[in-house]
Amino acid sequence: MTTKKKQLLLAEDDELLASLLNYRLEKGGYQVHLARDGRQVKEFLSETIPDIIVSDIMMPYFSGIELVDYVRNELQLGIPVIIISSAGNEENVLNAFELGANDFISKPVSPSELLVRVGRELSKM
Amino acid sequence: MGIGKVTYLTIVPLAPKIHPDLLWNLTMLFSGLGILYLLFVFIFRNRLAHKAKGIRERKRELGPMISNFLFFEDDASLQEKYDYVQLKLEIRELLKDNFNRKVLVEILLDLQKDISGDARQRLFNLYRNLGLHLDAFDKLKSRRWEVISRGILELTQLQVEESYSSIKKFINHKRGVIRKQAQLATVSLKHEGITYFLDTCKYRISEWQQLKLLDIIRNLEDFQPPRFKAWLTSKNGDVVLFALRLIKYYKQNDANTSLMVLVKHKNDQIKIEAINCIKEFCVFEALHILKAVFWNCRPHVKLLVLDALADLGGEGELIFLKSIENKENNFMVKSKALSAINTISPGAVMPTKDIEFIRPYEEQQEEMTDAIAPVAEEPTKEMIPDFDPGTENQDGKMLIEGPEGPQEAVHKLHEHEVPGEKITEPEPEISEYGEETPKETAPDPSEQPKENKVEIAPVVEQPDKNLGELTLDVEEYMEESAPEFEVTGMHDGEQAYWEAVLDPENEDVEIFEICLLEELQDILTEAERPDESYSDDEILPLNFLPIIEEDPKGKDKKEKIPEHIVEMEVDGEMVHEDEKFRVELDSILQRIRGSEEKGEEDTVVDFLPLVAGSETSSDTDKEEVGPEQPIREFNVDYKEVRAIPEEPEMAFSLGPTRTSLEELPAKNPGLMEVFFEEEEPPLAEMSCDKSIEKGASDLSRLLDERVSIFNELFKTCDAESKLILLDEILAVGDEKDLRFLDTLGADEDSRVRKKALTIKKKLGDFLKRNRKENERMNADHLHGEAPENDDISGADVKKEEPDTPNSPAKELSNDLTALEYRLLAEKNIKTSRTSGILDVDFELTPLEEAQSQNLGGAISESSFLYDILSIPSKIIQKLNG
Repeated sequence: MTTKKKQLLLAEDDELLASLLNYRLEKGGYQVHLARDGRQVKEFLSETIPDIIVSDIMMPYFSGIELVDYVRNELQLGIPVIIISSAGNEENVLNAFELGANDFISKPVSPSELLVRVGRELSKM
Repeated sequence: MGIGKVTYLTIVPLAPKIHPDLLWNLTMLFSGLGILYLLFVFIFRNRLAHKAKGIRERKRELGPMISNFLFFEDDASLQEKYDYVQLKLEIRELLKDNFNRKVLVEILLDLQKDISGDARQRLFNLYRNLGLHLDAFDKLKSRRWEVISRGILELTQLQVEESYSSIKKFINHKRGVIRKQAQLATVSLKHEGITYFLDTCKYRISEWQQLKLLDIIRNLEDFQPPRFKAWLTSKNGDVVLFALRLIKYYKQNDANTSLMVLVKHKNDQIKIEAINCIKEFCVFEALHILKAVFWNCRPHVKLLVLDALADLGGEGELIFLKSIENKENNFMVKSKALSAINTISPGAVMPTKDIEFIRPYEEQQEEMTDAIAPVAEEPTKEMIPDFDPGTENQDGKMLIEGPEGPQEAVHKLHEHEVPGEKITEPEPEISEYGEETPKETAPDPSEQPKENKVEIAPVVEQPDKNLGELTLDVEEYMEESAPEFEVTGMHDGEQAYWEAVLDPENEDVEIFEICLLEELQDILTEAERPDESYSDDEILPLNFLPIIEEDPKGKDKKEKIPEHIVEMEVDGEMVHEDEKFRVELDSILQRIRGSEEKGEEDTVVDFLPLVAGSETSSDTDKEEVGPEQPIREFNVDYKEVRAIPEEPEMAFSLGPTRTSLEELPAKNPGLMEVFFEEEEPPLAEMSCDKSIEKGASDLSRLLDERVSIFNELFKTCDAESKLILLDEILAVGDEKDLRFLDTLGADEDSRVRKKALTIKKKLGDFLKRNRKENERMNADHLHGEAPENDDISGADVKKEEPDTPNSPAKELSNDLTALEYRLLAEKNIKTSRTSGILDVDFELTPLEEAQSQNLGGAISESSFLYDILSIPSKIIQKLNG
């Protein structure tokens, strides 16, 4: 009997990084759904509720902060949200935390570290 | 057809004639070039886009492959290992294509930016394992600078340490881009790269480059910085500067000696960095060098030196810093020096700009305590000048009525100005401008005068000058609850003024208090010393008998006089001190009062200082009583004079003073006695049947002769001069000088008083003897006896001249003597008893002295003539030795 993988929504506009993280997260045991921009995120969320969301803070059409706000206030979802931010963007990170983000990780991203953080957030639920 | 005729030549007649075929050919040529250009742009754009699309697609294909390589683990399952081997074979096939190699390099360069940790290190390994670094080495050999730069960048970002030796050669490359890229690569590839760079760098190192180098160095892992003091001796100033910054960053405080030397560097940047290091490392030994180099530095460096001195210096640097304050012209440097002084010795320099001097509170308190007492004892007279008498009250006074006196009244006014705010605090206040605003405190009720009316001191002034006694009715004011107070006797302008001043809605009550109190204080001060404020011109010199007549004409004139002057209370101290007038007036008043006491006559003429309306009027009055005027013009209506009330205020009239001498003896014998004593028989004893003209001329003469010529001299001279003049009085004095000597009994100087008494006694004795001698000589003359002295002298002249005051010779003698002494006094020439116009340098024998004394009266009467007549004898005596 196989255990159901945790569904993870990875919102990242950089394809190389997204594929790299995708590979690492899938290898870490998660079912990763990639979204390249905000519209794909909304489409996915309208259909599926993931267990955790990992989102870059800078995305086309829909920023990571708006995603947190959308999840928390419109969808009224309590799923964990981890924000990936570039260095020197602490203000946005603080805004994300105010809106309900659970964790954040800065670029350059260590895939192993991200995997640990995702597991920790899911374990809190 | 018609259209074909229309060419550009018909439209533009002056255009050059060009064949149409040529034009068409040119048009087609340029159109073709344009199309060709657009075609090339389109082609190249599509090519680039296609290439970018291919790279993007290739990246999308190779990305997962790279991920597989990056995250492959040895403990993977067999399937994973199998896939990994298959992937290796696949990628090796791909690497044969240069495009794929480029794409892989780009993928690795992009990923190394976004990933960290072990994944990043694996990526570097993959880059080397795939042999991609060899391509970068080949780029270093390129002749194109951008390829070289690209190769250096790949090797640097993918951390190919083996490329260090290849890249470091480009540190001093002639092309700046390669040089800078190589410097960064050298420093970042190996830890010893920084030393090599600092050792070999020959070119300038820009600030931005230094920042990038520093950023690379501080991010180096396990970096052990070398002792950068070694490069403080570099000939490259930028290397020295960069080394100083590195020293400061890594806090290498073993370069103190070099730092002290670099403070003297010509380069301000190096100097500044050295100073910063000295300050950072607290190099106390560098203080004397900092002070030494200070004056050679530019202002911005001086500021740093002062900052370092403030941090490191002690009290020993205070002198130097104070010298900077005195010598330095730059405001910022001077201010920094003061700041440094205060840093070393807090509070040594206090703010001085725009600081107002305020006395200590204790002194202010003491002064206020001292000021309160005299204010409480202040006389209650108030005078407000520049007041229009035409709008005063009926009494011509402005009364400040109240039980407390003026000061208290003013206080109460203040209290009414600001309802609810009591001014009882005796402490001085500091206004917004820092000035002390002393507050008058209420005087002790026990010391307050009981007189409610505060009468302003009398003022002797021209009637048209709008002066009067002003009294504020404070009682009235106190009874009214309204904030406004009424000031009686004010005209509309004054009323508006006081209302405006005392308006309770006035914003600045303090300013009002100050102004009002100062004004009142000035008034009090002015009232206390009136003599200084009035000139002689303002006072009519009463050298005539101030007999008052109130005829209808005079009444009319009196009615025209402002009432405030009529009611004016005259203070003797206020009247100008005119001895000529005062002596006469006092004697007259004494005699009149004496006659009153005897009950001989109840007429009282209260002579008061007449207020001169103008000089013209006084002159007119003089003329009216002059000797040319007939005596009948002196018309005195004694009934009218008696009608003047004998009030203490001594109301007086400014009416005409002409009176009839015929009535004087009968009405006022005492008065007549004053004028005709000693010189002439009293006029009362004269028959009225005698010639009136003679009486008038006698009166005029007496008026002229009664005053001693020394009177004027004594007014202007000092005590020493008075003593000398007293000797002259003894020499030339006569009866009138005796009266003048009486007045000197009240002189300020005790020496003058004593000498005046002595001189008076001597002069009296001398005059008595002289009078007796004259009587005897006259008697002898009448009896036909010849004179004993044959010399031509003043005595002889006197004998020859009739001894009557009215004789022309006597008048001439008097005039000349007066003129002589007046000239001597004006020239400040001291005269002696024997001095004349010509001095005699020998002493008289007792016999001669006795003779001269005997003749003194005559000589004195005609000293000028005597001197003239004795000139030949004196010259002869001088020539004889």
